[in-house]
Amino acid sequence: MGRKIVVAKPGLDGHDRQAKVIARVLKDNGYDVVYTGIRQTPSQIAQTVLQESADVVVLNNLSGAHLELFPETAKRIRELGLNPFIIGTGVIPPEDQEELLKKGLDVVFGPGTPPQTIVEAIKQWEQTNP
Amino acid sequence: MGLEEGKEKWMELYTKHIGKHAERQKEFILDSGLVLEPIYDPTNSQFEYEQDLGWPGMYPFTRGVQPNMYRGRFWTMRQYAGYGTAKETNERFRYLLEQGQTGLSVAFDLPTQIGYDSDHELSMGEVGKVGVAIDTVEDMHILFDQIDLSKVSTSMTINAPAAVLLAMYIVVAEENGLDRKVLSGTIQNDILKEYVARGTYIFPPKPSLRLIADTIEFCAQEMPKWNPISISGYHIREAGANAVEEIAFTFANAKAYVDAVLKRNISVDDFAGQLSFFFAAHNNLLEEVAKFRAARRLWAKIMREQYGATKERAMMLRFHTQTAGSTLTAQQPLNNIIRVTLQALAAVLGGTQSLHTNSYDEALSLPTEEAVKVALRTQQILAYESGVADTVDPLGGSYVIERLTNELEENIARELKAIDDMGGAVAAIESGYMQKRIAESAYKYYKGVANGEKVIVGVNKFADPEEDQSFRVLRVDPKIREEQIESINEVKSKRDNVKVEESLEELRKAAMTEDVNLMPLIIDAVRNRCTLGEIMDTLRDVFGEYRPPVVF
Amino acid sequence: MGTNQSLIRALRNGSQADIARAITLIEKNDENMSEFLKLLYEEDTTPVPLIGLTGFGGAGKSSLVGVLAESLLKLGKRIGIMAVDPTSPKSGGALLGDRIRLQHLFPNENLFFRSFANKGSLGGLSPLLMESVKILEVAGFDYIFLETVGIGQSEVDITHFADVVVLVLSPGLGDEIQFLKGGIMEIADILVMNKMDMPSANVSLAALEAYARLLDEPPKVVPVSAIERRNIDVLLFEINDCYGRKQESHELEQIRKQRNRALYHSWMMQMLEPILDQCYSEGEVPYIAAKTFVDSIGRCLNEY
Repeated sequence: MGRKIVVAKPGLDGHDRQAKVIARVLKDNGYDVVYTGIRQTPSQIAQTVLQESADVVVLNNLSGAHLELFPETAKRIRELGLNPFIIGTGVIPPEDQEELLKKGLDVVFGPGTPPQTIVEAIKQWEQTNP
Repeated sequence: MGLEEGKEKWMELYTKHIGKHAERQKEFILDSGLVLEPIYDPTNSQFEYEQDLGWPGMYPFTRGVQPNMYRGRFWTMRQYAGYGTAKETNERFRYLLEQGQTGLSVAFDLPTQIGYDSDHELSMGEVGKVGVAIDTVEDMHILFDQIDLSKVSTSMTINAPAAVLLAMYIVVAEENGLDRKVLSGTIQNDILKEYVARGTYIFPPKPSLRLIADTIEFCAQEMPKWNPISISGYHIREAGANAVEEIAFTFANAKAYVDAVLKRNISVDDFAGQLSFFFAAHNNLLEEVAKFRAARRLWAKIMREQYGATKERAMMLRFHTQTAGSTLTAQQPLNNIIRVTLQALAAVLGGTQSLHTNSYDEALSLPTEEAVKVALRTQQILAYESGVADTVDPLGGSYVIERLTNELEENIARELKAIDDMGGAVAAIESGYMQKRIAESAYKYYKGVANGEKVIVGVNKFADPEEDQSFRVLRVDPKIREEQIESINEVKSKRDNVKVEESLEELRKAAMTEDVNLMPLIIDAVRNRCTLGEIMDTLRDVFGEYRPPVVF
Repeated sequence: MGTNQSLIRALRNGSQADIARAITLIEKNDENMSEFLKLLYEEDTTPVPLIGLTGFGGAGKSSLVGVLAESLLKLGKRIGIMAVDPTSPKSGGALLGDRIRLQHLFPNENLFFRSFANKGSLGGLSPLLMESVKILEVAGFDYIFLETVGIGQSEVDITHFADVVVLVLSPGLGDEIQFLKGGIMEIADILVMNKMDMPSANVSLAALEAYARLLDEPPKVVPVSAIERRNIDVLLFEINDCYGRKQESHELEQIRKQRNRALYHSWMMQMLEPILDQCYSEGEVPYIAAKTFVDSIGRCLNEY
């Protein structure tokens, strides 16, 4: 049974090139990928994760709003009693990466991360969560 | 020895040579798909000088839109800037003007670009982040404090709410005792590429085109020095399109705007001269220079042959260029200075009217002041030291450049025709055609990088595994949202709320009838201190909101 | 087992978390699935209209489902939507993007949306979809929409077993109509010409109407524009009307019987698939191998 991944863009940032490439690379690695499109609120993403029974959530934001939006999204997801693997991606400086890990994200990748690295992180997580 | 004979001899020599020493690649292919031959010469690069190149400042403008290009004045050095509050951005503007920048370019934050006030639920985390937050005309007053609007030209990257921001600019000038006639600048106002590539749309295409036609009509009548639209290929290219798609999709969009204005019985000669364009300068120097020249020639032909323009000004492709942000790398960021230099060189050799050079740290965060200065200095070195600005179209007549110019023009025209056959830009966008093409090109590019066919220095070749990934980051104070909300509340407590209601109601009524120009009503609303969000919500009620098609 | 019972109870209350969990239980072929399904089928439910929307990609199905759902939500209805996208035969993965058109309607307690990848295998998806319909029925939804790209080729395709089948077309797809002649056109109850906001839409509409008149039982043709929300109420009326007529004529009962039979078939195929492979080894004559297998089942059936 293939894993289901939600790729979501919280915030108002409309640049979806990166998110779409990530979605496609995940698909090419055999995952079922639900893409939410742009301009999502944390509660919209949380309900999506719930309805789709997603195993993994990839958040992408390029507008610098990640410190506000990623933790809020993770909180909303976990409040629904869900425990997916939550990955943050985008233009995220190293010091913010540490802070996000403290605030409910499982892995965070900064600028210039190749999509394949995200795939590897998911595969690694799958090994410990069969 | 004749030309053909010489070429044959060389061909023999060449074949023998590569038989012994294989070339670096089997084929040398440009991103737009053209395959480069080993050499260009009179046998494979042919052109009619008068017809294909002509003279600068004259149809078909291949060599440039001015008779002497940069020998008179350099291109406008216009760095896109804006973050935080209007006060902070005003300080950055004045710094840039002191440093010798010659035009302003305003970046707005996302809530402003999508027509939400800073106190809107969706503005959380976004206020002041990618640009300056503007909620009311009072913010606009602060933004241009101590800047003489009759002397500076101002470009605003604003699309769906462009009419409102233009109205605010007009009201600021007016309240400083300036006539709108003297104002010069540009609003981006190009909604079609927002649907395709950039994502800050609000309304569906039809009412959006109406608002755009309203602003073009208004400027044609009242603001002769203003460019009411900057039809942008930049974001299309950044989203992944190749050079041909960039120009073809932009021209398809441009034709949709021209058609929308023509429906109002305004002659093409009366407004087309105020249309401006905006393109990207990417890494491949030869392809990019040829692209700009091909675009200029094709646009002149379209305007003259398809639209019957007779004024030269209406056939000129005047454009702003920005270096390609997507080519900048987070790894070894100083390398980006060199990339930007080469891209800026392509723009200048391509005959741009104004230029933004990206800051080398942009892949990492908002640009720091130091990086912005280097970017501006890059342009100044090109202008004052390199010598490329001292004669017109220095690469004109180069065999490879002329051949690529011809081929790119043909390919762009073919792509444009395909979109025309689909029913034009709006149909091509609604069916997801443009988005699909862009996503495909973006994915192809990603694949090329992933498998190493596409070399990116410092990333997939010459990478530095020991590289220190920490970097200096410009931070926007998260408290800024509260400050903005306070000033909204202050404006709301001081204004005449009866007038506010009246002007919004007038606007609503006018929006429901299609033949009223909304600009004067929006100016009234702005003057009465309606917020950006209030004006846009009024229009949202009437026009509805756009929902994108599903495309990967 | 207790957990199954409490899951059913939670479903009766319409809990979205539990609807999702129940669907996943079937999707993952959980060991509790048999017992859960047994309990599920014991539930006394009122039938809920199952509206199947199908058509070529680009016809605007998702936007149409979006505006239909929006209208019904305004009337206080509870809407379930199931959207199916193709699985890539190469990687086995799928891109499920149909939510994009509806995300603005969330968060919403009255709207449940689930994306499915069709997995490309024989009867692979149908059981899951059909059981999901049952789950949504138990959860008390008022309408269930099923959106598929498939143009009803396989006889276990659930589109054939929707209560109301809507075929969505858009202008300029004239040539495709020819392709459809033998297939879905005949089982569609309503033909929708979407994107009537496009310039040449009237020409396409006239062509579709002319074509529809030639069919034995001419379906209704409804022109709409999802983008401009034009004629959406008319389409809703036609959907309800069609459902009502089928209810009166007892056609619905027939459809549901067929649906259960098809569900049985597709479960069967899904369960047989791994065994079938086991009973064939290279070098055997394919026909003989198949016949031997089926004959042996026949003998078992006699004893059974």
